[in-house]
Amino acid sequence: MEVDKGKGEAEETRKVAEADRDTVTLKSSDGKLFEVSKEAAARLSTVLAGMIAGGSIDDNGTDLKQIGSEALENVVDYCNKHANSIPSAALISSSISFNTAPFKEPEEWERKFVDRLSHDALFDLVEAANFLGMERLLDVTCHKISEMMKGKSPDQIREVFNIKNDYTKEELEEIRQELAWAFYDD
Amino acid sequence: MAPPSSRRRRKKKAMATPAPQEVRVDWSTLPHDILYSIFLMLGQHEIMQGAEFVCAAWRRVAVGEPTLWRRVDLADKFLWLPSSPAAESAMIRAAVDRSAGQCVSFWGPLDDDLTHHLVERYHLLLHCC
Repeated sequence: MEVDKGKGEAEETRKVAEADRDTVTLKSSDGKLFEVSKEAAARLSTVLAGMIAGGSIDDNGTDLKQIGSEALENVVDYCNKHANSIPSAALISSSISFNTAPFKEPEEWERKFVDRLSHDALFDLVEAANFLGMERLLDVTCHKISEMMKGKSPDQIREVFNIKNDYTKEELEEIRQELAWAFYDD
Repeated sequence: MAPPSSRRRRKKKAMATPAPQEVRVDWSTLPHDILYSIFLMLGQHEIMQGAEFVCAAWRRVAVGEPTLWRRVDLADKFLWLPSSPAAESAMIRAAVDRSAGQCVSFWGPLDDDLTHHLVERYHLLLHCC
């Protein structure tokens, strides 16, 4: 692997050792460090793959200022679990065909992985997956969120997701006119 | 880089409510593209009777993304709203109209008026079953 020449010999040796490391260190917005397999990070996240290929990984902890420690811990946990559970050949082919292939249902372990999260943690994780370009994790989290909406009325959804009904009078009137199916008996 | 918006929101609330477990994210702030991905996984009847009424931001995603309505499937129709032929018809028209001309297929109950509307506006090839 290419390393930066022209520094002291000790420094060079250190750099060689770190370039050969098979993990990368990620730093959350609140300064916590997490190690993740370089191979898994590059395979599961387009953003991390780009950073690794472009040499912008910081051995002392690559700053991910958009991601808090709880979400980053879940991201790293997901990468590690993924690395252990699926043969890489199968995964590579599924990630390549992502844009054309229909969504593949979550595996049992992926379901368990998102089911144990609090709603707040799920929100942060879906944002982190989106930010890091982790298509499979984004799919799995979005699938979980869609399941939480299914079969529910607007009031029930608002309650689950802590949302206030913020429609203005004008918007409500517009909806009333357009959405005749919802107000047909008015 | 700016801190993520969810953190800002939570920090604000956290000062008012010290117990961290009581601080809850407001999901109406979910980024548009994420919500779009979620809506792609929901049935359209779910969007039209649930999610899009939740708040203005969510409705903007439902009505502002024609690709959500490329394949309209309203065969599996009413969840919690009382059903009537007129309501069904209004819902189907709205769904197809949201595709902004991109609708390529349709499943659902059709009467003569609706059939006419779909064929005339969208030149849909109708397969009757």
